[in-house]
Amino acid sequence: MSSFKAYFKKEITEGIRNYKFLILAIGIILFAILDPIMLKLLPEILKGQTQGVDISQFMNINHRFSITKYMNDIYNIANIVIALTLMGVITDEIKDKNIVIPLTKGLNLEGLVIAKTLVYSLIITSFTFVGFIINYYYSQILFPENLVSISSVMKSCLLYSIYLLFVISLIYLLSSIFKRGIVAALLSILIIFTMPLIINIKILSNYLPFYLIKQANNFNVIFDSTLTISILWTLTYIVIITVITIDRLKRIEIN
Amino acid sequence: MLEGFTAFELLKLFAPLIIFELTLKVFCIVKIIKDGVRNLSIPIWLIIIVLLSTFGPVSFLLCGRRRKYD
Repeated sequence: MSSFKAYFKKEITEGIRNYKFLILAIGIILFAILDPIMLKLLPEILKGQTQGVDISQFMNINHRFSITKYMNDIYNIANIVIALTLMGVITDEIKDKNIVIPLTKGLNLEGLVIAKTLVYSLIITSFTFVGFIINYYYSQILFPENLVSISSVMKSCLLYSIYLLFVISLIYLLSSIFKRGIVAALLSILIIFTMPLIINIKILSNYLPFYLIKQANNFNVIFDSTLTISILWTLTYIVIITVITIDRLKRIEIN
Repeated sequence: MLEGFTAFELLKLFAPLIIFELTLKVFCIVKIIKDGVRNLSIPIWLIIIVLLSTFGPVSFLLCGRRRKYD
């Protein structure tokens, strides 16, 4: 337990020192502010581009649309930022030979991986909730029509957070397999963006973590049996992936 | 543009973005001056940070920042 506490503290210190928390905050929270403002300005910008033709008549930009836009940005951009920020979390341990210390001292590697997962899960979940609240507030000021209730947005946020936990564990697994962090990041980005294609296969759709994103985008999240099963499957994937990551690290050969 | 808003309301709306962006740029520039860079030269990183909004500073923090043990 004491080694886990030490790993936990080390991970927080390292995150602050390498500005990983700052980059994650920028990647997740910035769009919460930027998206509603850009959507408000978009009709005016397009009007300038199309010589007086008011394109905004063809678009129905409201509170719901603004929050959906933020959700899409979280999926498209925040995922890339997370992958690029966390790609080195495990590969750097191996590359810099820091992993030798727990291995030679007989300390448990489970604690190392769990501490890393826990720290970044807590940080990313907190940033996601903060981002959604900021986005909700800004969207409400700029688009007072067609308001979505805060409880629906928070439910969607919860699903996004669970999905992002899966992304974190996936990045850790890949970075324990590949020696170069960038390869792990690119492969995890590839898997993340391939999932929307695989979800078209009906038999698999409910068992993939992307199903959570699909449900979250509907806003009308009802925790029925299908969604609960999907959440349980995603949590199972996270546990399995973390166990494989720990196993990989135990078998690693340090040159 | 933005008919329903007064100048003060607009300033309040944009203030977090402006403060956020400026702080990030200043922070990265100070970091370059104090610690140096990697992968690209200092003038190129300065141009990227100044000209590219948000993505410039983020890409510097990810790929250009010189770490203590570099």
